[in-house]
Amino acid sequence: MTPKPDTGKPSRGVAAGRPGADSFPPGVLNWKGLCGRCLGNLDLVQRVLEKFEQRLPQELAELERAVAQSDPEQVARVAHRIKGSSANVSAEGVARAAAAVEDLGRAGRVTDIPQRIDRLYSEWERYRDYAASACPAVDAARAAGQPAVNARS
Amino acid sequence: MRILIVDDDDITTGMLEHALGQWGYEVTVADNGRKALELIRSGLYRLVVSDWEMPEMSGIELCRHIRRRYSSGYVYVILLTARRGTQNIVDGLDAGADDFISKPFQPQELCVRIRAGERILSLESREVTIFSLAKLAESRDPETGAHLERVREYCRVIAEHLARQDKFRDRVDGDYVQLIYLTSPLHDIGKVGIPDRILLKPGALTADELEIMRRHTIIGSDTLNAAARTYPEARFLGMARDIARSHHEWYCGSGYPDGLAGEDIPLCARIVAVADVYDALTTKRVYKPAYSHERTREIIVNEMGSHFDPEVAEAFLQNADLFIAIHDRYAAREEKEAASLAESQAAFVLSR
Repeated sequence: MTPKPDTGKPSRGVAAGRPGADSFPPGVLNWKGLCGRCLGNLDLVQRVLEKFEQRLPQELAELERAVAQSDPEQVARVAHRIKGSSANVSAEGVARAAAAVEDLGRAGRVTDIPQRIDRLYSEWERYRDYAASACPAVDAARAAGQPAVNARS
Repeated sequence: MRILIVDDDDITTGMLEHALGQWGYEVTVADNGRKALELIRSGLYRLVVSDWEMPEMSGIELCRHIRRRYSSGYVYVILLTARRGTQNIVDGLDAGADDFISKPFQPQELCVRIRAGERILSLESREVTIFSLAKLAESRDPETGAHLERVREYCRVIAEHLARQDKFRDRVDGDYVQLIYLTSPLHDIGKVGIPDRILLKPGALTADELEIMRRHTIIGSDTLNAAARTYPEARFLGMARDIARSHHEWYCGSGYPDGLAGEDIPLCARIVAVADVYDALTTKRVYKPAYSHERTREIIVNEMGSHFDPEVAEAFLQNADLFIAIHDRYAAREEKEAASLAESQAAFVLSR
């Protein structure tokens, strides 16, 4: 089975792999990508999102500490981790912003980093706004016993 | 099939574990390279999916560690990476990675790459099949114990030495070493065609019986040659045939079955000749006790140029310590097995 193609039409529930996804502007949370990686298992989707939301604030704090210590290598390491987990969650805006921070960290451009971190915070806020509406949609879909997409080919 | 996932990000490992589990794989997660290495050394994991960048030990370093140490089975390593560009691919392959999966992973891609890994690993079972076949042939002659295991190790040591010599470097490369390790256990496969009354005869053989006994070289090579002709691209069959036929040839030309001399005897057979004789002399047989390494060494030195290719025998002399270590390792193992057998027999007697 392949994931159903994205027709761009408004869809109902998880059957299309994107509950409420029509309300997400592109680049914040790629619902289809996340569902695909979880093989349509909505329990897993929810666990993953919860873990992500718990962890990201800690990692942002870690990033701030590294900046305060003027440690661009540590900035790059933490940003790399954020990039990896957000990319897997399909939080694409966060992943992009984290990648930009990582690049500056690697290049040792300490003075440019804070500005990029602000951008990362903004993306994180955007993500949270959308996730706040996404998770109830997941709950509802699961409660309704909607079949999940199976991304295995 | 067991798969080991190595990544410090538990969100990623959670997703990978779920997907692979859904497809029927048995998954273990290690959150750093050191733990992964320990698990891999348990020998339980043949397929590893590792992140590239991790604290402590990177995926690249993990690959290098895996490849540096000899292991009984191949470990197939797939690196997860967001890196693109030729240099990164080259670095990964150079460290010993087999394949790459781009990050964030796509389930379809993950699935096909894992399957590709499984295909490669299944090719390796060819080696196990060959060795089982050789052991089966040998099982009629129960006295020889771990003869095949030791002979292939001795062959590997000699071939590795030759690979470092200018004269042999072109012919003996890493592949050659692998091939001789794989095929040398087949040297006596033709003995399956020798009747028990001759193969298992305790006393000396008559001239006629000896003639029949010597036919094991022809029976073995004819069988392997038929296979080699059907699959000419399978180098190992050609080498196995050469070894089966010519491992009793003498360097001076007085061996059998063809009376070949010098470089007319295939190199692989000249190598097996030294390994086979060394093992026959240093282990106990019905007709003789086990000779010491020193005594065996003396015999081989005396027969350099007559029985043995001097350069191959020299490779043995240069690596005598490795030969002794291999011999002792199997001797210790056999003693242990014999002890536990005696113990279980005693327990059986007592329980009656």
